[in-house]
Amino acid sequence: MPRRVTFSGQTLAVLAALAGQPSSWRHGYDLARETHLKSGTLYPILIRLADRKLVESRWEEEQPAGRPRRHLYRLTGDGVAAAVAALAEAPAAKAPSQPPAARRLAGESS
Amino acid sequence: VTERLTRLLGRILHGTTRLLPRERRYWAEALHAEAGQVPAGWPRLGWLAGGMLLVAKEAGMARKIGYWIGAAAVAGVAAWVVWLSWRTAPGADPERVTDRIRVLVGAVALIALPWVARQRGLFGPVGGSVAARLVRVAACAAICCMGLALVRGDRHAGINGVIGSGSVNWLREAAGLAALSTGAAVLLIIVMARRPKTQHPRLWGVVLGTAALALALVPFQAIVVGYAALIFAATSRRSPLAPATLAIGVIAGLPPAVIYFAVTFASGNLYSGMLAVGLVVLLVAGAAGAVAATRVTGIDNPDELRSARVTQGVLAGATAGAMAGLLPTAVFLIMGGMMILGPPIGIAGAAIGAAFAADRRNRREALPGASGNGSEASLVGD
Repeated sequence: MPRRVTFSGQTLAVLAALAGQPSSWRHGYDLARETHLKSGTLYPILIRLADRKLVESRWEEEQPAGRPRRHLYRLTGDGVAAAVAALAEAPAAKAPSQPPAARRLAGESS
Repeated sequence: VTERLTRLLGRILHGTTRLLPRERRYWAEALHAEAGQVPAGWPRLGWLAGGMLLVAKEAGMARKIGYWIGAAAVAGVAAWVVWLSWRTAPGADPERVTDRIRVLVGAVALIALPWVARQRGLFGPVGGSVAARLVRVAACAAICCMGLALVRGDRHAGINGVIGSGSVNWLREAAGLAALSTGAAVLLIIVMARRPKTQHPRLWGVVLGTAALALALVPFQAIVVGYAALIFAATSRRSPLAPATLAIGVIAGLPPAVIYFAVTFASGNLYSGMLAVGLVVLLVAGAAGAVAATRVTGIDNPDELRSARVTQGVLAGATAGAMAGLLPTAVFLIMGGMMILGPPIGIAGAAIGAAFAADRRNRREALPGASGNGSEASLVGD
């Protein structure tokens, strides 16, 4: 029997940010700004999501001028499904403490 | 200043990335690559500090630092034991060599404790629950305390001390050899722990035979080694004890330990204390066994369910009895009798409690509509 997975509020915020533009590749700082998470919190969440195959990642293909190549992230198909389901199930009481992106998506899917 | 700090932190992050497993390094590199996009000053410094946190988390730094602090503490105790013994033994003592070898064996065993605890197999690595980690650390500390107390007490014990000086005594010389054999047996156990798939019944026969000999000749040391082995086995990932069972057993063992102290010192008689604590362990272990048994749920087969419940209950009782003996002995070696009597009394009490609880729950679950629908056993707190 598959184990039911629950996500923390912070993970829900990351899922919501990624699910807001599911086909776009996002970079870490962009996600950090949207979710208001520190890098030390955001990256472990991305790692766990990638371990669960909910997030896929790649490096920028071309070397941009004046800065190093960035690592990019987006939800996989399973990730989109998990994000929508998790945000729909997220308790309403939690919504005010979530960042805007999480609140927006939770509202959209309920 | 922030600019210098940022550069410094960037270099440290770049360097410490190597601490991560190879397949995780690109995450830290990704974070580092993003730092240039973050506004300069405190925000960028905070971003890089987060990277350090990421490296610490992913490299398991807290656990590694904790392990090395623990290992250093145990090695320190071993060194203290050796120093105390060396300072005490007079140069002309004919037993000096045996005594010192015995102390060295004890010290090596202490140093081996953290290493054995880390190996994959019967004794390690430690289970994932908080209870398993706490019990393992506390038990290692208790064993170190006992080693120190033994040598310190021996300084005042005269010729009859376990490690003290005196004339040649063949029994003690034989005990020294037995201790050495036990040390060799510990090495064999370590080998077995490192290679759990290796099955050598003869090897285990030698180990058990040596342990029996050691128990007869150097009972206290043998019991302590046995306790260490059981504690590691009980708190390892492969342990049959559920985390809840371990926690219940440890908590149940605390009141008898306190009562043992109280009665012994109030009456001034060790045997009164042992009698009182024996009765308390019997009662408390019965309750602990019943509680631990009822935590097992989700097995459809009534016989298997009952068996699993009784097993967990008995293990909780054994843990309670062992704790009731180990804790007082770590402080006062003279109370060591309960280290032997505690576990069997705990098992006896818990067997009754667990059997009663298992049967009662089975009857309730047999009622229509009350049966569980899980296909696997579940242990609360697992």
